[in-house]
Amino acid sequence: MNRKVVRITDLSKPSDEPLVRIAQEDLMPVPHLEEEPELNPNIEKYKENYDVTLDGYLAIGVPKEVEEKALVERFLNGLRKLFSKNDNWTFLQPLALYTDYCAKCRTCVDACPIYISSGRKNIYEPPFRAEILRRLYRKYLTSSGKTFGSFVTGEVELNANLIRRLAELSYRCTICRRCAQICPMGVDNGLITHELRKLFSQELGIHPKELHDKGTVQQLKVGSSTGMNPDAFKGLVSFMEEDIKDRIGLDVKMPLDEKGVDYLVIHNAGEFLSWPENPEAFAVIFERAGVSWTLSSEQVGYDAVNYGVWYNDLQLTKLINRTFEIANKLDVKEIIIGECGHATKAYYVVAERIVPSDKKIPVKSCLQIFDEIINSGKLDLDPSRNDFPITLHDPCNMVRLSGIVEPQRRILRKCTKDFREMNPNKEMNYCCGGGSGFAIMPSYNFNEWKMKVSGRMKVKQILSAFSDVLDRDVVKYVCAPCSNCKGQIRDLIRYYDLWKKYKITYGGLAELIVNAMPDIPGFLEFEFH
Amino acid sequence: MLIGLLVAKYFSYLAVVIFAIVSIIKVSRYASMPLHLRWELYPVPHEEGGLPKELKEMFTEMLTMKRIFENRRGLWYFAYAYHGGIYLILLWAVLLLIGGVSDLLAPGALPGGYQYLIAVVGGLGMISITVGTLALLIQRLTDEEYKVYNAPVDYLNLLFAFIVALTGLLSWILVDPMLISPREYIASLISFGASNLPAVVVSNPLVILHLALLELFIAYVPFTRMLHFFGKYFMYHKIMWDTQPGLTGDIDYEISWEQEKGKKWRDLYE
Ligand code: SF4
Ligand code: SF4
Repeated sequence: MNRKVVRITDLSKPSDEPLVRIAQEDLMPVPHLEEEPELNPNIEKYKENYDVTLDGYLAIGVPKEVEEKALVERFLNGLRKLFSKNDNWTFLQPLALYTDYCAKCRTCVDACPIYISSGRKNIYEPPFRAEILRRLYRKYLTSSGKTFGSFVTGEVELNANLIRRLAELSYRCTICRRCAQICPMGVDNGLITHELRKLFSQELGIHPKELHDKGTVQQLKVGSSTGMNPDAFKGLVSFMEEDIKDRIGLDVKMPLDEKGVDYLVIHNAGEFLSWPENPEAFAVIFERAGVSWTLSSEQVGYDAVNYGVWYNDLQLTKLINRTFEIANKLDVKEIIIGECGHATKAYYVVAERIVPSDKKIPVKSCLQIFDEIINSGKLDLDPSRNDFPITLHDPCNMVRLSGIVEPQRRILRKCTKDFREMNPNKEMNYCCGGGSGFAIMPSYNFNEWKMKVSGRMKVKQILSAFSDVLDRDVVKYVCAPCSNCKGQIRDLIRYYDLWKKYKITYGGLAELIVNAMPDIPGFLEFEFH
Repeated sequence: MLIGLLVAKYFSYLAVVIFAIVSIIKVSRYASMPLHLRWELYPVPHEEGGLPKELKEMFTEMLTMKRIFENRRGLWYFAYAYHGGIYLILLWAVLLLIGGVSDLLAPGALPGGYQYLIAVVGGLGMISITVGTLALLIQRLTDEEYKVYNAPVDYLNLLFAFIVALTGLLSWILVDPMLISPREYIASLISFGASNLPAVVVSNPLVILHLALLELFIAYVPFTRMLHFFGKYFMYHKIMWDTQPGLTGDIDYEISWEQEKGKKWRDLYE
């Protein structure tokens, strides 16, 4: 195995070749996956215009030609702002502590699915990018660093090579924060990734276009990161109402802009386009349970997505402010976030200290609401309707980061027959590999890295959860109550051909609940798309 | 003799004072930072079992270093030798303090066996730290994957701790196996000289060297990341397990990020 150790100083050195190469023989073996697509990062295609010298892959695609002096200057400005309270009150305290107190014990490295899957490439170790930031911070912003130099900071040279590679490296971590879960100090290297991304985005305007231009900017301007405007959304709502009728023969309404109701339900707008059966299932469940709820057709109000939580606190804040304004105007009692992990974390956890006190409205996850509804006995459910093997993917954002762990399990036990846990699960789960935006970032050759490296652990877990039934000609369902995880799992199934090989498919949770309603004709259609 | 007196008398107080002042400055720097956004990690113990569960978690981690034990066993042996040794030395300091107070106020009140306890706890602590720091130092100097992260000062810190422990260990073995002088030394310190300093402390070069190094080390610790025991409090209680609801942060701060220069956080909409 190629265990070349990359030093921090290597990142500042000029090179035409990547510092690290992903090779098939190094990758973590995955049982039951006899064949897999060959690696082909196609570096030649990109190398002329972009800096591919980190690991041969591009998530952002930082141009090769940059004016070095200006870049370094702007980076340093950003670094200062990252450590200032006006500009970074949102995370200054954790950042300062994590920068000061990592013991460099490497206890956290084996917790990282990316590091392990890659065949232990040390640039992917959780503390690696943190150490770069730490050295730069000490060198330029602390008196001990200025006085004693590299004796206290460790060697680091700030130049364009380092900046470009560090920008890419800040998109080789899904901010799943599994590493933080086992750090004896309580240091969270996922947060360091997050802070680096902020520096690049908020000061230098360097970010993946899917997150920024096509993501939050488009969402604020048009209404949704999918590009869907309010009219298109209203059209889709009518379509979904008809679709429910076609599927199960019932007239179910999806209320729009109703004031004074209990719940404003906000889905990840990707659901409406890719998996309309999920919001449809919500409507059926709410109608059956007699819940008073509404959707909003105002810009931003119909898309819970908040990519800001992954890369930019300013964009995060804008979307939070807009969302709470809408909820206040509608005068709802609670905001309910659909099956979307990062939106759950953004609104259920992170938003709280951004929303002015006179605008606060309680937020809950749909999983908590479904759990309450089912617990209250309002729904008649027959688990034998879902008699196929089902495993549950725990979205990091819902479980480890928002503490919503048991509701989905209670629900599954009430409406399915063959539920099996993945291992490890709950707060020690592995990310799907599409976290922190990766699921919606297919540009350049990044898809291959997502499939081969960041998603590899999830494929292994899925196959091992079904290992006893892989040979059986039954549908196997990966339940992923999160739009982004669903997107990533769909792509993994496709990439590794798991539907054809093993009849493994995927979907959300609400669909399983409706499929378990005995008086409704089957709601789920088992095709892979 | 003069050096011995200086080291044993005045520098002892100085070291403790520097330690306290710098630690307070450092801690208040973190404590005065603005309220951050919620960024907790579940399971959050106080949600499951209130403060007792949280304290239990925290102390189990501190006393056993469970997370390293479970995830990096090879390192745990060394790291625990070092930290377990420190805990023993802290316990030893408490024993000395009790001994010193009792010798001042009620001489002879403590049973004779008490001195054996002092000797065993102190001796074990010194052995443990010496072995632990040396092993960590060797590992950090030789393991390529660890070397990536080390600055020269990281080696220095370990080396420093090692030498302090080693000189202590040698003093114990060669000068005062029953560790009587530390007890007398503490009594003299806490009585501000009302009881006499033990002779070895002011005259034996090895003991003076050890004491001088120890004092330097105590004064030096708060300047380094070895102060992590305070940092850990914040990282666990004020971040990882902070779920306090209903608060709003400093949304009236003015922004200077290129992207939104001059705006206030509360006015971010478009
Ligand atoms: S982040 Fe924590 S576990 Fe990882 S090296 Fe630093 S102190 Fe050790
Ligand atoms: S947050 Fe997750 S992906 Fe990032 S370094 Fe930690 S374990 Fe790895």
